[in-house]
Amino acid sequence: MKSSLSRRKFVTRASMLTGLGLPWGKLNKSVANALSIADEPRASALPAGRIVDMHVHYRHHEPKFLDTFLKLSDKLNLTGCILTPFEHRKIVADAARQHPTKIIPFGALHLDAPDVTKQIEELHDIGYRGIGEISSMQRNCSDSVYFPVFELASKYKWILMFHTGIVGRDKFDDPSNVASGRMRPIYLEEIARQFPKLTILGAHLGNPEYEWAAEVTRWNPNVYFDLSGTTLAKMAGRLNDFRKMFWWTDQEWEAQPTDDPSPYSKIVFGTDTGTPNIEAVLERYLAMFEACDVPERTRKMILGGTLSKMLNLPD
Amino acid sequence: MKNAVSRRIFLNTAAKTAAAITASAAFDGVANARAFNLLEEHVAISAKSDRIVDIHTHFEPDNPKYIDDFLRMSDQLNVTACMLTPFANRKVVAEAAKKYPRQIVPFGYVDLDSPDVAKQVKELHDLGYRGLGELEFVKKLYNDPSYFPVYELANQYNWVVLFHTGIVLRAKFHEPEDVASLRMRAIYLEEIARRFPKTTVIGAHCGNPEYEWAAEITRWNPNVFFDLSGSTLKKLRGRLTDVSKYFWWTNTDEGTEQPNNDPSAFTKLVFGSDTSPKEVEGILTQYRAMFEACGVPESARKLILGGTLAKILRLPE
Repeated sequence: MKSSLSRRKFVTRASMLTGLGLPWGKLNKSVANALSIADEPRASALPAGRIVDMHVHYRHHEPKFLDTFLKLSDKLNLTGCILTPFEHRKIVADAARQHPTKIIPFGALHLDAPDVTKQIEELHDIGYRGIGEISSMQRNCSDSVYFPVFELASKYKWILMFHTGIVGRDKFDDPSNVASGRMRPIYLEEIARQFPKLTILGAHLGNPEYEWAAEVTRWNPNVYFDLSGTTLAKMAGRLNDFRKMFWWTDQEWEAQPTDDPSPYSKIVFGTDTGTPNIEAVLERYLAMFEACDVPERTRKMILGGTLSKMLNLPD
Repeated sequence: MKNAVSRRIFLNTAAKTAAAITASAAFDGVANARAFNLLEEHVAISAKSDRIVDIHTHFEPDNPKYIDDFLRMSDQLNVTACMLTPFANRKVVAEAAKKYPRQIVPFGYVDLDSPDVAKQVKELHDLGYRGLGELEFVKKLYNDPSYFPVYELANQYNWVVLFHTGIVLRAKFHEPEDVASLRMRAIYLEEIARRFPKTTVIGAHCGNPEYEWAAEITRWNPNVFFDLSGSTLKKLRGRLTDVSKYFWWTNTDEGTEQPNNDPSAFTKLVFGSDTSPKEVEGILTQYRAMFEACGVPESARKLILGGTLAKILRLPE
């Protein structure tokens, strides 16, 4: 779920900074300062190689969104899984055909929509590679009523990306049938076991149920999490705590999905932010890598290697 | 749930464990370091002292020498085991328990979703079984009313029932399986304990990773205890003092009835190994490291390692 709080803060602060007429590079640094990451632990150098961002919401209200994203993609060697509302499916499908190494189309569908399976079939036909961010469902996300969706996605060997944990509130005065309790990371375990051909990604590491998220990914080779949203901001002063969550060694890991024995290899990169702030989130990941001594090889896998392999992206 | 990983790790790393643990303890604080520095001495002193009661010993049907292996370890360490026995193997363990009543206490593993589960439970009772466990891999939440007939029977028999709690291993990676840790959360034991107060409810693995829930449930429910088997003590090895944060109410008025009216919150723990006989000593070492790190009083240590279960099960001396 796109973090409405981050978005609100970002929009407010970034527009103030834009109003100052700062050039792009300075703006980016200023945005980082505005988001209070300047005092956080300093990040290490960026490992070489493609970065794959699992968590880029298509911003239809920004007319030049795709152009802006492509510029950043060139600069950072960045590929985005573009999480696209169904009504905007065609424009993103076209962009993906034009830029197949930069834009991977994902459909942002509502699991409770009566024609959700029909929508999935159509997305598949136009080249979509998965669904996400799945959020705000009316039942627990592992409810069997959603199994037809998971069956279909499993048939396509798709990646499903779920929001996990606390969810932003969009409406403060109107009632809304939304509950973070339906999106706990523990539910992803059941989906992963029932549908072993699916790759399940959980956004936000289950914030705040980090230990559950880590245990679920430890035992399930087809489950990964990103650290987007407020997680890395909240943990900025205690990045070492990730060691407590990702505590196991290769000897204690029967469900190790690759030959990388580092438990951190179960993390993928996701930003869940506007294009101008993607670099700031990248910095936060790099700071976590430093704090937890994440091996170089694993850093590369987190930032892009794992998702490149899953999505069969060319080098 | 028998932890295959623990077993493997122990075999592979027994020799390295002390060094690794000491290193991680040094990383996290003096109390932990002190705990591990005292380990060897403690193990040597306690190797054959008070009776240890292990709530979490899985009978291994595939090992024809299992009972012999267990009895050898039992003699060496003075261990009594609640032997968690699949229904299919009920007779061999019932006979062994009759022969070695001081060392083997038979517990029956039944599938709560089996249509004849209540009949199985009655048969186990007739054979002299003393409880159920490890209950796990359920198709519904533990506190689902469809399981109440089993709990009614356990209550009628004043039995001890051991439940798996928390994250559960995945046996199949390529085939679908209808398994979910969420059905086995520690929080569900509370409702069972309240509805069936003559039953002693024991949660394995202290709810991993919901340790705080597990501790709060045991604080309010005199008939609930937890073991620290599985990966819990391994995961916490560099920060064993955290166990004090979960079991926080020592010497306060915030607890309920505790074994022997002991004021230590840690008395709501019991010993469980969830491993093969040759690895039990390694798990004892992990428990003792936690005792040192958290300053668990001697009286509470004795209750945890055997006193509490010996009393509940009315074990012969």
